[in-house]
Amino acid sequence: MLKRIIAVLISTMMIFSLVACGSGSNEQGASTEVNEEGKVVVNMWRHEGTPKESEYYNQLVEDFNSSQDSIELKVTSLPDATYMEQVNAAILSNDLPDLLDLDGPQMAGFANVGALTPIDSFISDTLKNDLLPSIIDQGTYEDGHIYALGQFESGLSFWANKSLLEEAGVRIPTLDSPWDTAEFYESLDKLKALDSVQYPLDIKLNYGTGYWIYSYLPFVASFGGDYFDSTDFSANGALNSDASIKAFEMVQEMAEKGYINGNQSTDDDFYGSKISALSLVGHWMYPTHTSEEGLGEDAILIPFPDFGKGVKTGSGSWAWSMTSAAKEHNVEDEVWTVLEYLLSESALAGIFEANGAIPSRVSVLDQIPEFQENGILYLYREQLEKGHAKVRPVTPVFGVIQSEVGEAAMNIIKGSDVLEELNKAVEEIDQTVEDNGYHGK
Amino acid sequence: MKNRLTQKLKKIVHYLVLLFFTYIFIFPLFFMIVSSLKGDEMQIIKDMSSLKAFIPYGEINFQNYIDVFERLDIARFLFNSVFITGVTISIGVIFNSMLAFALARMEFRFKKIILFAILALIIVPIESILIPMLLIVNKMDIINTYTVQIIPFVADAFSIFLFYQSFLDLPKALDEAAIVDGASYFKIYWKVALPLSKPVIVTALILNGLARWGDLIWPLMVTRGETYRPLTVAMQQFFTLRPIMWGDVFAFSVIITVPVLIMYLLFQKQFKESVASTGVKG
Amino acid sequence: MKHITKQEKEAWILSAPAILILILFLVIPFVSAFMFSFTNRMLIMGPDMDLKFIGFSNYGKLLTDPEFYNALKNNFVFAIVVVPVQTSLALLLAVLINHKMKGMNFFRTIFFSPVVITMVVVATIWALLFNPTASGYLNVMLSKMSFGLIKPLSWHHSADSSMLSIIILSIWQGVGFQMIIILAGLQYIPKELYEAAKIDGANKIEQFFYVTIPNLKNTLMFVIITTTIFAFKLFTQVMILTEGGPQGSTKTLVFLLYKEGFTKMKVGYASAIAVVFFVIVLGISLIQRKIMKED
Repeated sequence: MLKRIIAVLISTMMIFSLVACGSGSNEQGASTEVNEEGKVVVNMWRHEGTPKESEYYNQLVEDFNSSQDSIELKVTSLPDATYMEQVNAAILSNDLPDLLDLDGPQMAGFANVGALTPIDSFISDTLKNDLLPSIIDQGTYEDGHIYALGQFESGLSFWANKSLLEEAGVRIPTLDSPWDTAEFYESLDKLKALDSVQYPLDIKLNYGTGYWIYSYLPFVASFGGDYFDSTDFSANGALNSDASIKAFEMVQEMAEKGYINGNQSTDDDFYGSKISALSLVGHWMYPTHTSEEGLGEDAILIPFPDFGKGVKTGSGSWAWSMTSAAKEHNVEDEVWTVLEYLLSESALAGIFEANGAIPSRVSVLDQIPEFQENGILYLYREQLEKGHAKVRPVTPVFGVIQSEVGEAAMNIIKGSDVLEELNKAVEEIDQTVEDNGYHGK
Repeated sequence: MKNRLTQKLKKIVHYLVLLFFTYIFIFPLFFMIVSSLKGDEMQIIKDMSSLKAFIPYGEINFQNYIDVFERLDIARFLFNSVFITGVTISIGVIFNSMLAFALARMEFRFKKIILFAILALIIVPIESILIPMLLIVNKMDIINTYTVQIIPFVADAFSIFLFYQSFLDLPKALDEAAIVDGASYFKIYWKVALPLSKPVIVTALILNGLARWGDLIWPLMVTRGETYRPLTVAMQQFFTLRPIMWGDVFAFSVIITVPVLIMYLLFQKQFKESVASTGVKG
Repeated sequence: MKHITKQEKEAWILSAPAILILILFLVIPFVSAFMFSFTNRMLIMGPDMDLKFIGFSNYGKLLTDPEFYNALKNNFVFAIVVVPVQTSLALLLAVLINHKMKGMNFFRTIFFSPVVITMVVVATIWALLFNPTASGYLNVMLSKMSFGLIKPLSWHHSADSSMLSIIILSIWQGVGFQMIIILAGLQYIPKELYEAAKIDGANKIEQFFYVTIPNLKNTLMFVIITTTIFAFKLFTQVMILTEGGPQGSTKTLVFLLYKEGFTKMKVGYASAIAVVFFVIVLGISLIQRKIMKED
């Protein structure tokens, strides 16, 4: 009997070590993939996005391949909703592509486990000077190296219903002359007084918990707070600072007073049923908001209020990274060629058409009418160029911060104690930092 | 006279109750189909917060279906799902019922342990073993294939248990008669037990089939790119866009759901076979 | 080495294929998860991270975590309501359509249809039905049926009624599943038994309790045990409809497992949750089996 138990135990350990230790043995190894015509193959993954984006990228890939003879670019698109799961699985099974895009700060987690290759050495000065500052910030990891560059930035601000604002007698703010806290509340009051307005501010609760890390950070920053201190590697003192607490107390108050719908499940409060006069949502809603069935010309952009520490705006979007697989396959130079092409002015010229986002290069921005001084989207450009962007925490625990902040925010809206919720979140985040030994490079 | 009236009344009440439940179970399906036919996305969103969601009005057309077909390689994804599910449950029925038969009708060492283990395995949530499973199939080098989506699920603890319960109920007399005739247990399994178990086989096929058809997490982790991707993964794409194009989502849902329902309708005939013919009981 | 009988050999041949697959893809992974629970395994181990044995500390953390007990409570509440209600409803429906009347095929299909619709779509549709305003579909229905007595509920938007929403959604979606299992079981009851009972003067209700139920014992036991297990495995609906909220009122054990393992990347800790989950549910199933066998 004892012998049997020992035998079982030993085989269990053996099995476990087979499974757990080391990654799978894959055919690749350290060889460059070359196709029948002798061209070097570069494998690229991208998140699928909208049909227009797919069209744009397919065209880009085609153009790239036909424009030169030495590299064949192969692209695979994966569904957005489950993109990260697939990328993580690929890391576990050691079959990452050479090049892929990641949503903003997610890059940090991958850089931390060595799945990415830094690209600083490849970036020319011209390129660096032409890129929006937030793009560089977003792509820089704790070790000071750049691991990701985005083709575009996101625009986040308040969309406003011009007629409703005028009807309520609310002043339309500008970046130079924003609302302060008092005027913000006043405006909300005036708007709520209108018959057609039920909840003045559409805060997009229907987007779920994952949205808060992006949408509410500007509020928190404007109060002087933050979600995470990247130099201390801690959320303590940032997420639960007095300033952050004030910011979250404000959103709780907004729910209590009916300025926002604490039970929101609808998406079209601003552009469909029009029971909201303001909407906290980004550039991706530009087509819908300005459509005929939406608000047409009534849809305008106004800046966030200044709650004390200036007007802040959200920032960050998908960015391209070179992976460790590129190093293994010895295709770093080729991958950079592709990246350079993606960031070229000609490539970026079409990105606005494709997804309405803000091209990351100033030279390209200058070509687009919507981004010129009287263009409807000028505010997006202005805030980014003038450095109002508050970049999300670029740290490997980004996912946890997103999850915890989101959950805390939702609970706070339902009435939970603000300090308690924030402290809980801080604890979870810091514990994860501890467990992973993330104390920076 | 009175009897016929009460009979009729009973029948009417019976149907009324059935209709009541039909109403409860059908409205989401109805909503799905109606919405998928509304060509105007904005209208769908507007209707969502009222009873209008169930009324087909406005732009009724197949635009959403056209959208879905244009955007996705539906033929391929449909084929993948059908192929993977079909192969898995076909092989599964054989493997699972064989083991269940052995457990129910035969004696062998470790039988009790295995039976206990099967019950226990039903409990294990797949989310807890995804990572080790991934590491194992990675070592086997079958990532991104049909094989990797089929083999792990060919044996299913729930199906085994289902067959086991049903085989337990088969009269022992049949076994004994067959043994006297010199038949092997395999013959008993193949020629006696299985034919008598049509309802259970159909049930197992349907339930197992549904589980595989709706599998999302596993194919997500083991497929890369479009070649071997099933419908469930492809569908994810429609849930990320902002605003979500509900018309397309519902059209896609109809495309995934209706074929399965039709299959179920066809398979159902098996349920009509009552086992009154066996006679031998106890 | 004991002598293997011919029967044993045959038994092994019949069992081998399924057992091999189960071992390779279920047992071994679960054993691995078990071993992971004693380590500090993260989802992706960086190049400078070592896999260390940390003994029972994951378990210690888990058993002192109020989140764990909250999830446990939620699972119990869910199971206690869903298992009896859903099973009874399934039994009722199965009996209702197990007749040779016209249209039974149609009804069977309709009652089963919720099971076929992908959970994501089901949750979406119910999210809209659960609209908390006075004009929300369910609220309107309830109000009409009770002549205005029942006030509009907040459904899944409020911590008080969110579990109820999940329960309703789950029962609605799952009852068809049990129904067809019970239907299959009903098919095995010989007509003669009913005829004999009729001759003895039993009416339909008595036939139900004295013929149907006793002969369905195995099937019902199977349904109850597996439904309990599935009730504890509750995950998808929560993930989509409430994300565990509001205020943690719908967080379940598997949801916790997923968050810890995949969002927070703490695979070691999540594995500990899996093991504890397994032990608890196994215990419950065994107890159920014992109780029902004695009936």
